[in-house]
Amino acid sequence: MRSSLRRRVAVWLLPPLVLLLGVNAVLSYRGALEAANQAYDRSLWASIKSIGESSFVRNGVVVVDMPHSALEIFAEGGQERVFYAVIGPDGALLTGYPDMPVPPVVPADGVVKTMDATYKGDAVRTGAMRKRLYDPAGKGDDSILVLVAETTETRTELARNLFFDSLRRQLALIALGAVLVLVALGTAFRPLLRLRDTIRNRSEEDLTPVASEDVPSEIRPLIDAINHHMGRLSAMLDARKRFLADAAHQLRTPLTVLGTQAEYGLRQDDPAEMRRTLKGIVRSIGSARRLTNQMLSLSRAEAVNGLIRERSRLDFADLVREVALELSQLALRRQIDLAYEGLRGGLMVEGNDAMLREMVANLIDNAIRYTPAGGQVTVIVARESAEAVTVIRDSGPGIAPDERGKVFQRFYRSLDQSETEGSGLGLAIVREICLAHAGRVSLDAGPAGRGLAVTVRLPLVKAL
Amino acid sequence: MKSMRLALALCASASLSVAHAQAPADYPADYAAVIAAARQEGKVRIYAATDTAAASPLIKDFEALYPGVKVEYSDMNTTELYNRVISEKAAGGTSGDVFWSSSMDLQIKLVNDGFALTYKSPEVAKLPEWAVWRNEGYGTTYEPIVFIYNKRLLKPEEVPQSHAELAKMLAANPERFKGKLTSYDIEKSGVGFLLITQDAKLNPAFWDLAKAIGAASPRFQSSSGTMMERIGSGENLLGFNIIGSYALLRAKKDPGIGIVMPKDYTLVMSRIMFIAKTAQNSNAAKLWLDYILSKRGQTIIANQSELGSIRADVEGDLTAHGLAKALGSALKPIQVGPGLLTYLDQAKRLEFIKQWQQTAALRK
Ligand SMILES: Nc1ncnc2c1ncn2[C@@H]1O[C@H](COP(=O)(O)OP(=O)(O)OP(=O)(O)O)[C@@H](O)[C@H]1O
Ligand SMILES: [Mg+2]
Repeated sequence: MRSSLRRRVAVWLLPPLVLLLGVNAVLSYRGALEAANQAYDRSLWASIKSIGESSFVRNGVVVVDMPHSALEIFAEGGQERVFYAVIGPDGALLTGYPDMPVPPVVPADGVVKTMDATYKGDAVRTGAMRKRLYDPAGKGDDSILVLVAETTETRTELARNLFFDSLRRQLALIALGAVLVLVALGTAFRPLLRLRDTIRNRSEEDLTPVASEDVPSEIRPLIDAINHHMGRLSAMLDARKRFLADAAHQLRTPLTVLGTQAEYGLRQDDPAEMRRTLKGIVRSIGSARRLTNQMLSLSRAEAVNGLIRERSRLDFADLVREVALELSQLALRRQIDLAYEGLRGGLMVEGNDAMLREMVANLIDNAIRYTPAGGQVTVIVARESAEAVTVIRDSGPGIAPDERGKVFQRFYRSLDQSETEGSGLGLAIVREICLAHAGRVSLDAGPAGRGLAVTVRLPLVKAL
Repeated sequence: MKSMRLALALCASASLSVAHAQAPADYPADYAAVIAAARQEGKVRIYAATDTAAASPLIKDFEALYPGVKVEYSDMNTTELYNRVISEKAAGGTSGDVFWSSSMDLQIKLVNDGFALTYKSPEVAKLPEWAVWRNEGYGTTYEPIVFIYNKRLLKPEEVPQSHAELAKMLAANPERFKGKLTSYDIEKSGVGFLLITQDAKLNPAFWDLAKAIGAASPRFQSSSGTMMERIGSGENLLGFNIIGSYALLRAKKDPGIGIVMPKDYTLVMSRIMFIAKTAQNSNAAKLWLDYILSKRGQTIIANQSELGSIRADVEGDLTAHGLAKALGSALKPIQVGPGLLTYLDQAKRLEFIKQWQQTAALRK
């Protein structure tokens, strides 16, 4: 962890730094060259000025009286070769070297223009100045052009020295910066590492929140998220523990009953009595099987809660109708009039087919079971804005309003219906599946205050 | 004279002991490679505007030091040398490897125009700063510019000891020196022109001096030989801007000639040597240049060639060392550098000559 963070910082920091260094190097070389030129252009400038000052018109003839300083000035600083020329108003060479490079634009008067050029194959720095002579006899343009050039060895050497100096300094700075970054990283990650150690050294059972007082503010959200998650984990763990205890307790009842029935059966000699006892045993086994099946369903639904793996697009109306059809046999046996009202297809929702069937089956099963014979169960499917709605309505005893919250709890069974068999898990399963599909479930009284109406709402798939 | 002979003897013995020495101890390690390459080349061609007589002891010693490297020495005058370098370069054929001339300005012009090879001699540290330009042009000698006079005809108190005294004397006694003053004809002699322009640059009272000279109806000659001859014979009394090395040689033969190093300022000329950029025998050329600048070569220059040593560590009268003792800050060496190009400027040259003739030239 430690080294990988370092590497990450290095990867993000070093290439851009190298790039920056490169850019900076180019800029600083240019700067150095400019500085060198600025320093050395002075002698060029002075030389040109002095030649200009020593040029005049005498009897209509331009006289250039080369001042000694004009060329000697170059002997002082450097060891450069020097070329010069003075060109008359007519473009003819008055004195000096022929064919010197001339800057493209030389201002009218007294301003020295410099540029880089080559002369006779050597790189030179050239300066040029136009000087008016104010010849009274001259007609109009009487300006001469003074050119002085020197070779550039000293300049480039100075520029190179300046450049390498600054490069050395920059490299030293970057190296120092890198060391500082490493040190800073070390101190910055120390609280994180300490946190890692405390979490690593915790006991497996310990789900209490991690202390978030002495961590940097940047990490506090992370700690809070971890603590939040741990809170959920410990709540879930508690629920599981309770469920396990409840389940064991619930399973004990049918087992005890089975035990008693079997003992009773053993003591009987009458085959008819034994047969009756065996029938009772088979019934008990049936209810125990239903209990275990319901527990399995619930645990599957809970696991699914929030993360249903196999989701598909399915038609909820068809699904409800099919489930109602499957349960019509049971309704017939119980003499319940089971009716289906509403849409025939066209209610697309996204979800787990088996789970949703389980949910609807539980609801219709309840309605059939808790409604006395001769009663009525109506299954309605409809679309309401962006939701698929199914209402399962019966003409049974209903559930008292103050009990409606409790019936969703696991293993809760209303005392009024104690003669009807059941494990008390059906509505808990319904709620879990409903939640997993981002739906809602509510209990109401049936029309005219009689019976029970269970309403489930599921979000429809958005129209494409 | 005695000290000179002693120095000569010392030098001879020194040259014996080091005759077969190879690269001097303080030379770079790879110098042996230069020597080997020079042997391969076998010769070095030198174009010089310096008498063969002055050069021959150097040539002999060099060939003894580096057996297998022969010196081909061509003596010519300064303008000839300059023109040959340019025309042979243009033609692209063989040319000299080393050019050595007393015409400092023309030599500098050649260096400035890119004819020279850049080569940092290992002797550079031993040379005065003014004598090296771009590690291309090297000043090799130390030749004071002097007055000479006829010892018999000029009373000791009449001998001017400085340029200022010369001007004063001429102004005070125009008749005494009428037609008796001599110097270079600056139109015909390149060295004469170089020296007089250096005077003009250095001496703020130059044009007063020129006026005084002009008043004395001077006799201008194109060679120093004629000047010294006329002074020796008594036809002229005083000559100025004479190259000290020539004057010393002459004075040795003709005791009637006296020499004065002007006390206000004494110009010092130095023969400039450079290696051709296109030298065919560049390694031999480097050996030659380094030899000329070395203590050994400079000792011979001072004591046998009589050209004056530029090195401070060479003993003798006619050395930078000896002259500094006598003249101190009055010594004004002509700087080896681009300043010398000023008076080569055609317009400047014509302008100067015109002004000089108007002021100083012979008036009938
Ligand atoms: N349609 C209904 N009418 C009246 N009471 C109902 C109805 N549906 C459920 N109840 C009451 O809610 C209680 C909880 O129902 P739930 O479906 O959760 O458990 P169960 O039916 O007892 O057992 P299971 O369905 O797991 O076999 C039931 O015991 C019953 O009292
Ligand atoms: Mg039920």
